[in-house]
Amino acid sequence: MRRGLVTSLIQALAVLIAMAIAPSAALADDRVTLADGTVVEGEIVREVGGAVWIKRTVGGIEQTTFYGPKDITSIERDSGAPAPSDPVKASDERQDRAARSGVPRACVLTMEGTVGIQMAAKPLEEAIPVLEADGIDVVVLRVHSGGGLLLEIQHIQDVIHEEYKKRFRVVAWIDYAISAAAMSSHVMEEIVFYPQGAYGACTGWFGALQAVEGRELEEVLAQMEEASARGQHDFKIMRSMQIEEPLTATIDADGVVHWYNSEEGDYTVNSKGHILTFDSEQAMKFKFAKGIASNIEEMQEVLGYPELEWVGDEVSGVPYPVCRAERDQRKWRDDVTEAEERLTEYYAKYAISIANAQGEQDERIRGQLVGRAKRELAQIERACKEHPNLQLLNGIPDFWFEEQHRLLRELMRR
Amino acid sequence: MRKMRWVGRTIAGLTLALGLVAMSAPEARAFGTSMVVEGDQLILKDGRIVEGELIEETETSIRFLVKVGSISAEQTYAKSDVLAIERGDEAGDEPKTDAAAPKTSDPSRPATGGDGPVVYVMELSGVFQTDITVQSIEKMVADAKKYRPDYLVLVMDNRWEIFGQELPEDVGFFDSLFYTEEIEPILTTEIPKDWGYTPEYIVWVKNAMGGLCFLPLNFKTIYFHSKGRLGGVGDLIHMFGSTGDERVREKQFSLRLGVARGMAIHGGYDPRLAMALAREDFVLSYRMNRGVPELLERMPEGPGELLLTDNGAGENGDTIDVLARGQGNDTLTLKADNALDLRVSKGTVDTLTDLLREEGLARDATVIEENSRRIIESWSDSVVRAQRSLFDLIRDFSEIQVQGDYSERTRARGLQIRKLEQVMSIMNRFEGVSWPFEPGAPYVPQFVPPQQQLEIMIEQIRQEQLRDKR
Repeated sequence: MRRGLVTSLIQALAVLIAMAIAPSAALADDRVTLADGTVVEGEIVREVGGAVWIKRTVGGIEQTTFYGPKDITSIERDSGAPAPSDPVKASDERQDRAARSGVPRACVLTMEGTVGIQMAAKPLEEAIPVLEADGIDVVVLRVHSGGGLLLEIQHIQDVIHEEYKKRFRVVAWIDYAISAAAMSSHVMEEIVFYPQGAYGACTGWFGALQAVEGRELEEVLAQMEEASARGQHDFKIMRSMQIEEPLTATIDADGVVHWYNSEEGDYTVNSKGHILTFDSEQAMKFKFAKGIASNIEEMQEVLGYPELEWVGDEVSGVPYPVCRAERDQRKWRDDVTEAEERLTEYYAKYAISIANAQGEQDERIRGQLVGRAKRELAQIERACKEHPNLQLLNGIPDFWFEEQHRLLRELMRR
Repeated sequence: MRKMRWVGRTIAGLTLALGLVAMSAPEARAFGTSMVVEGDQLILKDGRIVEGELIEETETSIRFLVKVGSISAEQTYAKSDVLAIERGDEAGDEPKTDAAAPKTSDPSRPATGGDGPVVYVMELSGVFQTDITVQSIEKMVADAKKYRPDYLVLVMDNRWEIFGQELPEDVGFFDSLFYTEEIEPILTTEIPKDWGYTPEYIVWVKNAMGGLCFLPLNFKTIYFHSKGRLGGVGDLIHMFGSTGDERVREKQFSLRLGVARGMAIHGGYDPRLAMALAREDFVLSYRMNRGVPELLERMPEGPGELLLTDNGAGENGDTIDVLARGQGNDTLTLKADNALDLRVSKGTVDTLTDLLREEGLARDATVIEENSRRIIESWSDSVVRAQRSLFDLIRDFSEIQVQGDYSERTRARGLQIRKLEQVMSIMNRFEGVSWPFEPGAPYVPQFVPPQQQLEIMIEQIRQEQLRDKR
């Protein structure tokens, strides 16, 4: 559901107020010097295998940023104490598992299908305790989706930013992230492409290729500015993925990329009048992507781990181990896909049963037909309860179910 | 409800087809060579002892075929979890340390009659999505696996036609790219995973037109036939006509080109070639710079520069006499000469023997050439038979009279349901197939209701039966 105007205004105001009153400095005085010379100040809240999570406030937004072992030259701690090897607070089971291995544990979770239907916040959220119990340190979110519902984007962004990033090193692995799929993934700082990966084409539309315009468009642009800040991507990139603004870039002597929604940069990334979709070469050249990986071995290299334990079982046809949480993602998608595909059929069968029951004089047979109708109605109710977006998409109001139950009772009383 | 439409085909159906790996031991252990060791033990740090066969050992992991009774399954262990490896009978042998292709004398191979490399020729001929389908390619891959080939030669030779009518080069069917997107992982992801090694791929382009044209671009080694063509996707910016807003149309072009460019990058080619193949307003020229082609996103500006495709606008638009001769340049069609110049093609060959010679395989290679042709012919026959069966089943269904006494009516309805279930079964087996069109014959999509409708028809018949009285 698109964010309401009032909500947007309040959030925008909150951001402005936060920017005005928040200290630009970090929360604490830990200093991480990066390989490119940048010094990041903040509070190191987590450290695993040479990688750190550092919490700081940027532009009024508190964010926790991950830096891998390869990215870091040195760490200076406020306390002066040496960095603990693994200060992560976790369950006993998790620590026990981690200790057995002695190396960071990683897994692949897939985000596939239509955003808001198969690719949704709910299964991701439900996976968190499972990932924690399995002692996962690094979650690679593999994205293959052609987009979907605008209403789900914020939910997915929030789960990734507010829940996953605090607990795990989170990496987007881009196979095909188009439209709402790219927008949902945009809060992740670390983005790795498949060689054939594509990311972008985020124009909102409806009906017969009608573009979202006016205030609604501005709201989505604003939403993605915030997501860009969360993911530490220049908002101009996403802007060219949403509307036909040009995108050019200049890479300075230090290798830093400067972006322009105009034609003043040295490189044309997106011509005026076009909509941007990054391929892997562009994403690497302009440092949007951290690396390119076509399998988990290459991913491990990109992430800078000499050793990484990929958690899960080998499954035929799946080129990475399938962990428990990933199994749950797949089951979720199976279930919602079946519900999506069969909802019309359930409804049609329900309507047939009702029509036949209404015309049936024989009480016994009418009872059997009502029984069939009840069965189909239960299927519809279950599908809508477990997957509320299906109910929304099919325009089924809550009161419809009450009316149907009343109708069935009346049919039985006749 | 406004929504961001999902356009790309999801491969979720494919990747969700879960099943435990290697429950059929002979295939799972077929990692080539004689390096698979019998009767090994893995002693884990937690005290567990796992018995089976060591398959592969890398710096960080161990792949092991775990055996329990008559059941076996492949597992990967982190080396950090392993205390020791106890070798069995063939303790002197080393496990393979990487996923290299089996070279010669592989005992798991059927007899191929020679010690040289094995070349499996996969002929993708016929109509794309009718004959060249996910199903037919999966059958070929399963057959090829038996030979443990070192080389897979993919012969691209689709018939460029619609409804039996041959198409000119300037006609485009870009969106069959999304079917190519389903086929590509079978070849590039599933084979290495399932076979345990990656064969050398060689693509031979005879005719790769329509969405199929992007499949060769996933592979590094491409040869062209002297009459070879790769293109037929130049309709991209016209496919939506003037429907809707320009911005949304651009989005649709962009997401499609994202897939196409990705495939070109996958194979190591300049993604601008994908743009030139598909987008009429994209201008691309090239010049040779010390033997290396340099692409230029503009019209030629000197004698050493050659035009690949202009913007098709105004007087740049192809004329009918040019189009009739297959010489249009509003969009790019790669042919033997320009593909060679652009280093897309390694060479021009007109026979398989020449192709193998170019790759240094002519002398001692064992070539499995006929199997794939038989498989695709058999598949094509089955499509035609299925089409006829569907027609017969629907005709039979419509001719069933529900009349007579109660038991006759019951029997008739039972027969109706069985006919519809048979239709559903055939449609499932041929899912995704573009049914052939025969002039004068009924066309499947016009007379077979969709799956959901069939389910509802069956339910209606069941309820009629329920309401029927003796």
